[in-house]
Amino acid sequence: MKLPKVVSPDEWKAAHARLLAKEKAATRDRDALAAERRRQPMVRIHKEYVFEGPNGEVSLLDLFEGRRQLIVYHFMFAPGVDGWPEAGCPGCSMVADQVANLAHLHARDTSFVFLSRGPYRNLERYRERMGWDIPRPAPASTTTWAPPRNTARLMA
Amino acid sequence: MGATTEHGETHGLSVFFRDGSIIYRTYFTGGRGVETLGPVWTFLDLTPLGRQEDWEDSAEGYPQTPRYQWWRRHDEYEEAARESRR
Repeated sequence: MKLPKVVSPDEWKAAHARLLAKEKAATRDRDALAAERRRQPMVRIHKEYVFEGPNGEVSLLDLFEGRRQLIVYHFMFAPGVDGWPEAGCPGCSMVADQVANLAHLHARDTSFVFLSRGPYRNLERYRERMGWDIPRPAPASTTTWAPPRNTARLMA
Repeated sequence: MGATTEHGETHGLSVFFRDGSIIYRTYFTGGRGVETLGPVWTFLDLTPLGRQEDWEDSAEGYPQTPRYQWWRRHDEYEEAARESRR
């Protein structure tokens, strides 16, 4: 394995400054992209979706929990997925491990839910095993689509 | 595309916006698009309202408050709301 060049502290500083300029440019570019994203057109949802949560059946509107924005992650927990029927997709689980504390999103009028196909009791069991019980007030984190076909229509 | 189809499951993240009881879908990302997600800021950057901070280039009339100042310890948000009602 070929390691990077070893240099003096001054040379390191100079190299770091050059990289930092590029990093800052990338941050500004990311801000500009987010600004453009905020101005993207939107599409109205007419379909009445039904979900299953800890408190029984809820609608897409219910998932907002009164907030203005809703982020939905389609979590792969379904037949044919690695771990079925006891566990969810390893990649999705890695994503879930990295989801920030939702209190901060809530403070900005934004709800967050995971949606999966699997039976609700299996999702709950897996959620407990993974320890994903940081402040995610019911009826939140794991919910299943019902009837299942709705998922394809909304997300595809 | 974050869906259950006849070809199997894929992951994905959608953003919805609510105006009263009217719901809009505003955004979707899948594949490697989710790699950059996790921190609060990365999620808010995907939403129509953004971080809702005053430095952001957002459309006219969007809610914005001074940068950084809305941040709280995660168990203190409700308390902050109670304080402000007093």
